[in-house]
Amino acid sequence: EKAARALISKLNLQKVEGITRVVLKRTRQHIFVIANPEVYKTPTGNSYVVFGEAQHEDMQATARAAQIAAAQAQQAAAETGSVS
Amino acid sequence: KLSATLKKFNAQEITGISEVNMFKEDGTVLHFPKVHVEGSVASNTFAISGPSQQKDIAELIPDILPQMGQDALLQLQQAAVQFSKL
Repeated sequence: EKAARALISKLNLQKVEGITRVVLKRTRQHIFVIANPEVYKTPTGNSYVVFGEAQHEDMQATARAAQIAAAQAQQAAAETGSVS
Repeated sequence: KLSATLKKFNAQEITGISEVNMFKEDGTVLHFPKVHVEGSVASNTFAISGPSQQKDIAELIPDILPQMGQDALLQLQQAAVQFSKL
């Protein structure tokens, strides 16, 4: 990574602030997630360079978690609705 | 120029990537629908090229949900509860 950074730093890239997560979608089930990335933009603006550890995530597992979270939110909403 | 630099550290094309989303702090997403990715997993470096669009998370729901982090999901969940109270 150090060598790559040194080479990349010669390209006059601009740092892009405020990116919290980069997701590369591969297929329906597999994604690569780079959490806490460092993102740089080329002067032309069409390319980005991302530094950070890519972790493989199973979309189905996270999709299930998302569904559960959504269901819980709905339930919570229904409960507060019945109280008021 | 970028690709020449990438070759120096043995970056390889990462095939089969159908889209890339970059999540921002302000709740927007930089969405790359057609993307070319090169990089090296060993050096934790990736180059992402292609046209991008700035989008709101809401525009990308539901496809984007499974890509979101637990924190972001929690925030969304809280927002949904808040919204239902109104």
